[in-house]
Amino acid sequence: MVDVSVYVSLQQSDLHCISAFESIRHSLGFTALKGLRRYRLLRLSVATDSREVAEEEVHRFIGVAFDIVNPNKESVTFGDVSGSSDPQDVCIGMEVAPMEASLRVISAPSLARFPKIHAIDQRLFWVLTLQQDGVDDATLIRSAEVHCGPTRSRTQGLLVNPLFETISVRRLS
Amino acid sequence: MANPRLAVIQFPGSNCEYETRRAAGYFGFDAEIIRWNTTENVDRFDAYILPGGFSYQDRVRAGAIAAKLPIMELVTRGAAMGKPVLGICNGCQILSESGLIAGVSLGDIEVGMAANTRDGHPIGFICDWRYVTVSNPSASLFTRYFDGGDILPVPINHGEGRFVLNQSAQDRLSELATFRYCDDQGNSATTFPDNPNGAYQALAGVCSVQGNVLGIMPHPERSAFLKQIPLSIRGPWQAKKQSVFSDQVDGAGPWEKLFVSFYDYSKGRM
Repeated sequence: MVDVSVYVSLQQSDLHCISAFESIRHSLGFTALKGLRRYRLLRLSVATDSREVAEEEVHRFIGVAFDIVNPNKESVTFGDVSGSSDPQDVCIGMEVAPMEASLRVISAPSLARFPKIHAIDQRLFWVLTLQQDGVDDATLIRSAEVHCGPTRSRTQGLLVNPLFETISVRRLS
Repeated sequence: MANPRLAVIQFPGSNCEYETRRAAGYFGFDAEIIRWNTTENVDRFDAYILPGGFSYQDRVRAGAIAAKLPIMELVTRGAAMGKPVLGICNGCQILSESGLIAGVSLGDIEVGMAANTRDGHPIGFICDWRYVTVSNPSASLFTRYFDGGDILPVPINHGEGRFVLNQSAQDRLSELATFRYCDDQGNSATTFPDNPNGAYQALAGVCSVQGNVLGIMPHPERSAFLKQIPLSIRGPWQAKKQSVFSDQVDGAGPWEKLFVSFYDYSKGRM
């Protein structure tokens, strides 16, 4: 079994991002946040030993699975999403998933025509672009996790509710 | 003596503020709808209701963005002073994201509103009528006039209404659990559809340990008058509706005790 990741994002303005961005900057006061993007992260399990075959199958599937990805309004990125093009910026990804595994699995009629694809696991993936402001990268990333990550009180955190969601953070650039 | 002044706080995306004001006004409140960006003179009100709807289109999570607004700081301050605060549906979600429900550790978020499930699987948005019972009438100022035998029909309308509690809130559940889903005979809801969203312990409403903040997912304002009860609802409230003349169906419905208790407490604080 090979897992293939696909990132799906809106082509036009993502209102979730606009509201979250404004809330983090203005209500939570974390002004180091320079940009915020939101993706649906799909992990497709393909019954094969070859990554090449798996990726080819997923490409074919995504091209016709309009019940999973709407090509009129969504863009698809295979592999991994990129960070900021500005080398001064620090980019991190926050992967947010429901705690219950059953809530992450999505099904679709289009899957019936692709027997090699066994399961689709869906999460949210937020990409945060952070502006360095005289602090080292590690401090900046820790600060972003506190301000933007798990919401512990009204004045701290937003993108994750730790009572029913999990989070994993990784650096993109 | 004047009636208590009640603020029904309208957020961008609220859609129940007018019927909430209507119900509160019927039971005596001097109710006024105020906007989310109001920051002046908010403390002149004696009580607050956060109505249902979809504040900020439920972006990120239901209630998450609205909870960060400055007006919620003012509501938090009012709640700390003992003013009653009622959150209905989306208002309940905003209260939970503000850390106002439970309140075991002040300010911490101890109650979450997760997506509806049935047997552990997502079921999306629910729009229906259900029944609830009052778990612990004396724990909250809103439920003092109920007794354990009340079976209350009420409409539900939500996609994220599954109560999830942290350990400290679970440990004090007997004080916090206010309303629980049940069947039409008052038996505890154990499965769908009586427990419509998979809520922990079939919770439909949770209050703060101080008892002056209540978050409830069903809509009492849509069941405040007899005329709002549909024919599909069985039991004594249907019988009562059928027994009155048509010019009397404007009278109080199943949730009269909640609003009267709310009113009496607010009046007593003036």
